[in-house]
Amino acid sequence: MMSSEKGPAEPPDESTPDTDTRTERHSPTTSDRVPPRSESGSVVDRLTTRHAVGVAVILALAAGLFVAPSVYGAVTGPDGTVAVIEIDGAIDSSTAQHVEDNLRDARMNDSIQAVVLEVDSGGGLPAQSERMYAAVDRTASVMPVYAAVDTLGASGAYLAIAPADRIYVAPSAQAVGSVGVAGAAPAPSGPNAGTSGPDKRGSDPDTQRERRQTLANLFIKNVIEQRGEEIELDREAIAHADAYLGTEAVENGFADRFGFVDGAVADAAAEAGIDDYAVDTRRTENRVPRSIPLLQQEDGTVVVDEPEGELNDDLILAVAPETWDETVGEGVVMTSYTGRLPADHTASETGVNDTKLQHAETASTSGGEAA
Amino acid sequence: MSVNARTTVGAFALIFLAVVAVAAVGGVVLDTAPPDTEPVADDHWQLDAVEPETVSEGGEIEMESSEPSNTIVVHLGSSTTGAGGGLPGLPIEDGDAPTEADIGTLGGAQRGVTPLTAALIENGHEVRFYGGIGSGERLQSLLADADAFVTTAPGALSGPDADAVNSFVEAGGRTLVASDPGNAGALTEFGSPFGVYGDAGYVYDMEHNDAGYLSVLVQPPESTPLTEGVEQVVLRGAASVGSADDSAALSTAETSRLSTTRESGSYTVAVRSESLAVVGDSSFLAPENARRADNGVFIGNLADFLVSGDAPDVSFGSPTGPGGGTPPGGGMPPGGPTPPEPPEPPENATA
Repeated sequence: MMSSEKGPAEPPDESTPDTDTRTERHSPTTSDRVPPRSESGSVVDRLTTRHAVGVAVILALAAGLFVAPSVYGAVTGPDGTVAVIEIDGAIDSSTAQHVEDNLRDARMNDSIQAVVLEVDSGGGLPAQSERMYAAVDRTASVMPVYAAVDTLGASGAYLAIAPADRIYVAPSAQAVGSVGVAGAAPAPSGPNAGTSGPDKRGSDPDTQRERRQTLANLFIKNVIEQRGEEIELDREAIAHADAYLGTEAVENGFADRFGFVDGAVADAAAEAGIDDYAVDTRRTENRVPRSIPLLQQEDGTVVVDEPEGELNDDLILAVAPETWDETVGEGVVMTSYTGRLPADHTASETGVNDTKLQHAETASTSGGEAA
Repeated sequence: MSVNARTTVGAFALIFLAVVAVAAVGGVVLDTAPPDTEPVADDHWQLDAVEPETVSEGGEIEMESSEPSNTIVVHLGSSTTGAGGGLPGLPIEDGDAPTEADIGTLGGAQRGVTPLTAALIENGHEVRFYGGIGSGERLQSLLADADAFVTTAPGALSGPDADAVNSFVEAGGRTLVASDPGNAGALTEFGSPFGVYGDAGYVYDMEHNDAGYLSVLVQPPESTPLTEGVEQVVLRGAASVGSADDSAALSTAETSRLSTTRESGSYTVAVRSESLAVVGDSSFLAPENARRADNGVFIGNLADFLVSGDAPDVSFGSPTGPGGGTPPGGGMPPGGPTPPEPPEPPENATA
């Protein structure tokens, strides 16, 4: 800029063009002419250098001030992040997605160097619990993954956290473990002209029984695979599917130590080697039903029809008894063998249950046809 | 001027490329990819590793006896549920409005004993069902003409009916009581005159079972007429029973446990006391289970037991005791069967 300004300034100076002309015409004299030119130019250069230095100082100051906060932040900021991921409520697809997404993010994100799972769940669908199990296992292979259980860390939720490097429980945790599955008792189905095959409505009782046991065995194998060395009970005792108190769980190896989320976060950060850490808490979103179906009854009143959840007793569930009702609803009872249906005077109640079951089956059948 | 522009553009390009190159090289050098994760172990997910052990299925239910026609009275308790434990709350049954696509039902109460009744009828015997005191028929009159009696719900027998069956057994009438868990009180009250009792709770086996801890595998400690040819029977939910002479017909494996005490050991689940045979389970009679393991052989033996020997000489002349009219199931758990009041108890004396 400075030199370009000088350019236009030169033409008014008549001697300069002459000098230039001479220079061009008498090339031998060029050397004589150069020193005066350079002397006259050195004044200009001295001025521009001074200006340039001034501008450079200002620019450097501005740039320094611009960069300084980042540098300060980089020097004083956390060395890494501990992600706290919540596993809460009945386990279905959205729970599994939440945990899977956040664990994937933890693996991809360089700043996250440890994960703590904040657990309060009594389980849910076995396959979704397995999804979380796999995500936790994968994450635990690259960074510390700790789990902290308060009241419930049972059944499907316990399966999900079994691969964690360490399990903390509150001493008053009420259900840790419950390694097993539950569902309706095996029952035959009658002839049905609406199905294309005898097993479309449901397989025979022997097969139902075997499949339930297969799911239970998968669960037990997974727990033994992950915590076989910690758990001091043998396979048969684990398969009893009892849910333990926190104090019992630490004793029998279902959990590693007493503690809560903050302690787990601190320990996970220490394990990851980050003294100065940030905590990034990822909570499950509050579940809002996508739509609330309204039904108008015959008498004109409008009632809210509860949307049917993903969980019902048509499926075999990994749910602790403590949360069975809230998971599949109170209308469906876990049928126990010895609870043979009473005769006569309670038949009416039974009838109600049967009717409900029948409705549920009708719904599931229509779903099956669609599939 | 043209030289200046070229120099300027050149300097710009040089510095620009230098900066980008430094960024690129620095990125390559400094950037670290996310660490490689280890794959999730899945060897233990293969079906071979998790498939439960099961017993074989097949065989026929055959009777060996060539007795002339006998009459067997079969009592099944509740008419709304099938016998054959393990199948409570059948989804479709008589009386329930079937869904539109149904063309039939599961078959109601009698369904649970069809393998036994089919074997009896096939061999020329007569089967008569007794539907309880409210059915219009009287058990005493049925038993007066009967050679044998079968019940899968001793707790559903009313007081007079239980007394009638007691008299029948005392007179030598062969009686089979298949008593599921939950009927310990009723079974004890019914069986005590013959030295037979039932234990509360149920037996389960976490190690050796037929795809479920309730489906215990039981074996005869020694071969008796009831268990001839039987190596292993599957019961879907068995109660422990006992007898005064300690004569076990079937016992569970040592790995089984009693639900009430959780103690492991061999528990007796079937006994025979002269003309009374008691099995702590009725599920083995159900069509789904009758051909599992040696269940069919056992059912055939029971059918032979029911039709063998002389016809009982029974009379129901003695009036009902003071306990008449109340069911013998006083010790039943809540929710157990409660038979209706007998309509006319004094009639018992006249039968």
